[in-house]
Amino acid sequence: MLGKLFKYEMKATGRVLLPAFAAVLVMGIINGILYMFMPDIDAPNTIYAMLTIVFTVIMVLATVAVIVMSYVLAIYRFQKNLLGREGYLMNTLPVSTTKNILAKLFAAVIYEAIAIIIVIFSYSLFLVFIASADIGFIELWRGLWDVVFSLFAEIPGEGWIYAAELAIMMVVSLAYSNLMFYAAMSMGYSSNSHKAIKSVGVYVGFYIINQILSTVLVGSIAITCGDFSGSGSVHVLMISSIIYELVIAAAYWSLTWFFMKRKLNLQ
Amino acid sequence: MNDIIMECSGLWKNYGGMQALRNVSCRIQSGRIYGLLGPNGSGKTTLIKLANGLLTPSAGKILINGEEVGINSRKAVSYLPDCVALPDWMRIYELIKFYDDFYEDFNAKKAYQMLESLNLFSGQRFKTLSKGNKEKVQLILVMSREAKLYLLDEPMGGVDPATRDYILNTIITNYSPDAAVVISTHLISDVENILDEVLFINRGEIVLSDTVDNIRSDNGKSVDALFREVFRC
Amino acid sequence: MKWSFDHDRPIYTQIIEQMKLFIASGEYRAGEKLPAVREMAQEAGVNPNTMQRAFSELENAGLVFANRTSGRFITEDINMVEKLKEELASEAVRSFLDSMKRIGYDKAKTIELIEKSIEERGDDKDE
Repeated sequence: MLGKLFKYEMKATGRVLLPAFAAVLVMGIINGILYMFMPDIDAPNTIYAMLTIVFTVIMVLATVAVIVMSYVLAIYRFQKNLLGREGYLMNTLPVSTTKNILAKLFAAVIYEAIAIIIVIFSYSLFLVFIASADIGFIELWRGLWDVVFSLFAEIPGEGWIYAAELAIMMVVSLAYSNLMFYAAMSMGYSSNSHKAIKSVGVYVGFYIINQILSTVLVGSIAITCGDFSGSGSVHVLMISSIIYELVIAAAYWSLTWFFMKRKLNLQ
Repeated sequence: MNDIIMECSGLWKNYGGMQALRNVSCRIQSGRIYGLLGPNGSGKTTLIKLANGLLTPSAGKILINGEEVGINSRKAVSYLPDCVALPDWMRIYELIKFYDDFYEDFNAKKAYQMLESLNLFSGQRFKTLSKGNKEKVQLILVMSREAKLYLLDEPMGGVDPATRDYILNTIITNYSPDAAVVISTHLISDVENILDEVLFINRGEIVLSDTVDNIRSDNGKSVDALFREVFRC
Repeated sequence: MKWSFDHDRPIYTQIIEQMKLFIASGEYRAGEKLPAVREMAQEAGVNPNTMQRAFSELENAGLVFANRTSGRFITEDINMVEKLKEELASEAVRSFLDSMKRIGYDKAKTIELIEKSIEERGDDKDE
């Protein structure tokens, strides 16, 4: 059942996001090609230059837009499909509340991660195109990734641990931030009126609480760890923030689950 | 032998200060078509939401096929909400696939037959349909399940007379001695002829529960006429 | 079959009445096979249980009989149909005479009216 819910969620979100992702990738390529064929700086061609500037600006905006879009869409899907009219269908399916929330969460995290990856990929494509005017395209592409890998390899043995920690942190962060929205919405929508405004209010409340708690956390780490030099403390910081986010995410999950199961108020 | 498909005993539901249902008890038997009749705000929708798990009781019990409301009971209950609740980005055949995926008792063949009889094309995107057609599609999906309990919440609100006849006809055609149908409505004269029994509900309480035949012979008037009397403002 | 129901009486009694008329008038012929209960319910726009109840009573009255495998049939007993016609006709006459009495027509005037009306309608020219 979870698989089916997940499948539908991926489809529903993908119809909007996949074209956007493709557009961003294409823009990266177009931009790159434009730069690649840019005439010499010595003989400036102002129209061409303006065109490339405009395209670059568009691309930057597009990359920002795509990441924002993936978030907004995740929130929109949760509200529309579970808390709005479609909720009459979804919440009466023979599936548990847990599965309904999980399906949304998985799809949201996956698409948000893909958005980030696509943006990184787009920029690197773009950069590669720029530089390939002088060097061969493929060589450069390989070269770029060599640099990235060696950066990690340099830190003896720990490079891969850092990479793993980063990846986990990204996933946990995404899950955490989505669940924060889900909890705020399921609470706000349980009331009879001003549902959206109350959701925003709850979200702001969560944000404030989170700021307080994380400051306390960093503070206590600083006290216990003494100084911040050395790779050890970086690990401590990363791992403790992963744990912190997991704990808070669990709290958001519980709130979401409770309000969806007991306080659902479809109208 | 009629099974008791739904049973409420001493059911109470409070909604933020208001008592939506007060000490409601009723029994819904298979093989019968029930009318849940009452003015707006009387608790009809609350009762239906309790039966399909969208709400939980404040006190008392509601059992579907002898079980508490939950995932299992939802497998046996086919619910038609009073608004169109389907994802409108899908095409009709995708909606059919959706129902087929989640409900074991769904009969896709029947759904396609009903679509055809209404001249609806299954490749059409749901959002491009007229409101009336959207409601018909939703009805088709709900009635193509071979469920034990059909809960229809205001199935005829705002539809034209031809559609209304189609809905009534569909309910009759899908009649099964193993299933019960509960139609919640405040438009009684439309639906009276197909009902076995009616439950009058007012301000959260069941004020009358009887067969249509009894009501007509005891009172010498239609259920609709009696209702107007009972609920006279 | 054209069905028409009043709202203030149980439907099953009205089904029985109308079936009797259909049988008496020959719209349902003696020995004719009837459609399934559900189909008839659909046609009449009524609950299948109601239709079933009416048919149980018609079976009890002997106007309809059910064969386990082949379904329901109108009785083949012509005498029964004749008796039914008599019954319905008598009822109609009784009701008519009650109305005439209420209006104040005596026997002679009533008979005169009947004869005049039949002539005007040309009913005695059929069959």
